[in-house]
Amino acid sequence: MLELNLNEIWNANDIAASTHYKKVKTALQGKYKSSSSKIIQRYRNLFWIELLGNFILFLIILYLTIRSDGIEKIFEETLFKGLIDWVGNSLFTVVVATILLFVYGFYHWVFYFKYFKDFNQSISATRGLDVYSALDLSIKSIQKFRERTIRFGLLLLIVGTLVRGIVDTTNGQSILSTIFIVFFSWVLGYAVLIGYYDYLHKPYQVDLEILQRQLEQE
Amino acid sequence: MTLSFEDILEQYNDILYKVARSYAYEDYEDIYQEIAIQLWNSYDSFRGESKLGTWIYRVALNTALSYKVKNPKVDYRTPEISLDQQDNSAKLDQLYKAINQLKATYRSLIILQLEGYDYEEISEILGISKTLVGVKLGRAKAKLKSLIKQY
Repeated sequence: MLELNLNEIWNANDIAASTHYKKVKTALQGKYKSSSSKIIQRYRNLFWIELLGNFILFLIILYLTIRSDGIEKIFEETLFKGLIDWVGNSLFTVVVATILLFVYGFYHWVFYFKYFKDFNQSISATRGLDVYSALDLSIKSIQKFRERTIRFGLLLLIVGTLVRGIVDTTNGQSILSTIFIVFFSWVLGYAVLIGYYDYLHKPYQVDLEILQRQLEQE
Repeated sequence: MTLSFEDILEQYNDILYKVARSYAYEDYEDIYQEIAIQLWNSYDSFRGESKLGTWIYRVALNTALSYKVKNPKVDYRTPEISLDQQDNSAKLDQLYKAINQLKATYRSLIILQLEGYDYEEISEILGISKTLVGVKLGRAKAKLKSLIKQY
C-alpha cells in the first residue's frame, strides 16, 4: 500500500488552483457580476410567474366585479346626476368595489416585491453564517417567503370573491347562492394555491430539511 | 488599504477551488462559479466579525452544500481510482476522489483540517462544538484512511 502524506499532497492545490484561476479569471468576472445564485434565480422565475398569475387573477376579478347589469347607465347620466344617483345604487357599490380592488392590488404588488427583496437578502446573508445556522436560516427564509405569499394569495382570493359576492347580492342575487358561490370559490382557490406552492416552492425546502437531518446524524 | 473584490477573489481563489473539487470531482466548475457568484452577492453582509478567510470558507461550504441539494442531476460519483501516478498533482486527484466519497460533514472537516484550521476555527465555521469537531474528525479520518487503503 502506498502511504500518502496528505498535507504534502494537499499543497499541490496551490499550483492547481492558481492555474485554474488564470484560466477562468476573465470569464468569471463577467459572470459573478451579472448573475444571481441558482437558488435566487429559481425563486425569481417563480416570483415573476406568480406576479403574472396574480395580475391575471386580479383582471378576472376586476372584470367580474364591473360586469354589472347597470354599468351602462353611467354613460347615460350627466356626471352630477350620476354622482347623486350612485349612492345607494348598485352602480355605487361597483365603483367603490373597483377602487378598493385597485388599492388592494397596488399594495399587494408593492408588498410582494418587498417580500422577495427581503427573501433575496436573507438568503445571501445566511451564506456567511456557520454551516448549521446557515442551513437552519435558509429553511426558515424559504418557509417564511412561501407562507407570506400564500397568505397574500389567499387574501386576494377572499377579498376578490367577497367583493364580487357583495356586488351580486346588491344586483339581486340571493344571499344563500352568494354564500355558496363564495364558499366554493374559497375551497377551490385554496386547494389550487396550496397545491401550487407544495409542488413548486416546497421541494427545495424539504431537500434542505433532509440535508439538515443528515448533517445532524453524521 | 481596502482590497477590491477582484483582489479578494484572486487571493482566496484556492478556497473556492478546493471546496468545489471536494464536492464534485469532475464537474467542479459549476460549483466554483456558484461560489464566486454567492461571494459577490453576500460580500456586503461581511461585517469583519471573523477573519475573511473563515467567512469565505463558510460561504463556499454553504454554497457547495446547497448546490448539491439543488442539482441532484450532477454526477457526484467518482470514477475508478488508480494510484499508479507518483507526482503530487496526480496524487491530489486521488485524494479528491476519496474526499468526494465522504459524507458532507466529514468532507468539510477533512478540508478544514488539511487547511490547517484548529478545532476552535473549525467549530466556528461549521457551527458545532469543539468536542464534536474532535469526535467527528476522528471518524472522518478513519473513513478517509479506509478509502485510501482501497487504492
